[in-house]
Amino acid sequence: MAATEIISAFSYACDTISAKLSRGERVLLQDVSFSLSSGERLAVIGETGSGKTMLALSILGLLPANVRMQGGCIQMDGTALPTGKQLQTLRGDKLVYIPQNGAEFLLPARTVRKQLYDSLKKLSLPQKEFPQLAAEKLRLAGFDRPEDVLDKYSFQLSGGMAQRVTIALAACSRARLLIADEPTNGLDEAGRAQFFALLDSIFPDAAKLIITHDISVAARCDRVLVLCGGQMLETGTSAAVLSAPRHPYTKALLAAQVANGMQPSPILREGVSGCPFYARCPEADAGCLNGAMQKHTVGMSEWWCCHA
Amino acid sequence: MLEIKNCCKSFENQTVLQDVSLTIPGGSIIGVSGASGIGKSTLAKILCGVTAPDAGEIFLDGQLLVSEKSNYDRRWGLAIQMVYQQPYATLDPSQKIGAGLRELISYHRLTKNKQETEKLIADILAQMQLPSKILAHLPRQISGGEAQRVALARCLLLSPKLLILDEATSMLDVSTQANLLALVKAQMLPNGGSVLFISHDRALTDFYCDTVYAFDEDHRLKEVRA
Repeated sequence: MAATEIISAFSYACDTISAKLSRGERVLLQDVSFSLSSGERLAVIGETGSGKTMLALSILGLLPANVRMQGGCIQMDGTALPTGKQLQTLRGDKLVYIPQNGAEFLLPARTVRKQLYDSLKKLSLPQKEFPQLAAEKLRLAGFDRPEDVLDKYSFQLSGGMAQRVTIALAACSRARLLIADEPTNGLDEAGRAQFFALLDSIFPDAAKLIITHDISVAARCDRVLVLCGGQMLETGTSAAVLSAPRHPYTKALLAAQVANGMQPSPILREGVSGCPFYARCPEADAGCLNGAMQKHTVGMSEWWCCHA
Repeated sequence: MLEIKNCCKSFENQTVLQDVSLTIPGGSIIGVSGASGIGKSTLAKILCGVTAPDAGEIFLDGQLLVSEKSNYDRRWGLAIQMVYQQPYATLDPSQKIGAGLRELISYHRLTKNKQETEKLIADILAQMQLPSKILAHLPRQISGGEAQRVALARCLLLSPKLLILDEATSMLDVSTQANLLALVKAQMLPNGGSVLFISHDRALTDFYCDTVYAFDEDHRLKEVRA
């Protein structure tokens, strides 16, 4: 992509997202910010509970009732995203979400045809084009004979077919931002390559936010954002971050891959520092307990660490 | 040492295990891989006494565990423990983690009095690298990796000779998986225990196990990597 073509399609910044629990509050995400250009792929990686899904839900305005965003802003094309009803009209149109488990996400009481029509209605297209459009979207998602699927219910589809139906549903949109939550869970290497080819052919211009804990998926993205305990620890181009990780947490995530020898990262010490990885960090020292997180920058890569 | 001799099992007309023989020496990690539905879990269930084999014999340390003629030896079978795929489904959702561990200890009469029980629980939590506050939590309040370590702790309390991991890490992310598998290795092998590692992930079984077996299309078990 030529430098002049980059338009900031979407940017996200938040002070804190916190959950109100029965005994006080817990911070789920803190000081996360990034921007995405159209056509760009950003992978968000991190362990379970690092706040990946909360990030996606806060963009979509679908945070659970006890969780709220305390500050910061989410912008699209330079203006803040609306809230409430106005945001609802954007969901499924400009903002599109592909869930982790397609089979559970589809409505069991409506046929694939009805669900596709529901999504097409949002685009205010003439109703008589619906049958043709629906078939076309299914064909895009890899169904050679769409008529076989149209009148089926979600429970009559296999897991892989249901996932492709959710992609077809996502294709019924004018997506500017596409969020995919662990989209390739349970797929093998060939399936993953196919999934990304599909995304690129259906949504060439959309900014893509891919949530994953699979490093091979992150390697297919342009940039990577590493989350741990709700904080950004490292970000940069995926080539740089994945080949030469700077933060000990990113190193541990990479070393835990089977291909890299599956090294464990056990708890090494007690105590809490500014860094959420302190208890398991092999490089931490006594200074870390008092030190604040410092930002380091080299080229396009940025990382936050409490020791040098 | 566990010996499976000519084990067969079929459900109605569907053959699942065809003449399966396998020896698991003490202190080793044996991997079994294969496509889903091929019979991996059925083998594990037979070893745990959940289903009975149609034919064949299984010996643990030379003593008969189960055969087509004799029922599963429940007392002897306690030396075989299994960690299942779904961490939350293993734990009683209405029972706190601590209460579950205490119930297990008193049921199997592992300790003589309360102090011993509390000490045993503290020891096993330390081995599993779990914080002690987890005892007061319900299963839904802990993470998947923690739940799987609790399930592992419950198995290890009975000092098994064979630990079966049936897709036990497929729900976990890679770093949690690495931590759990390193723990299993450290807890089982030094005492001469062995591990039967069942997974559809060939790369993972190849890396983690000493010997890898796989089911072929005829539901026979073949050694694929020594």
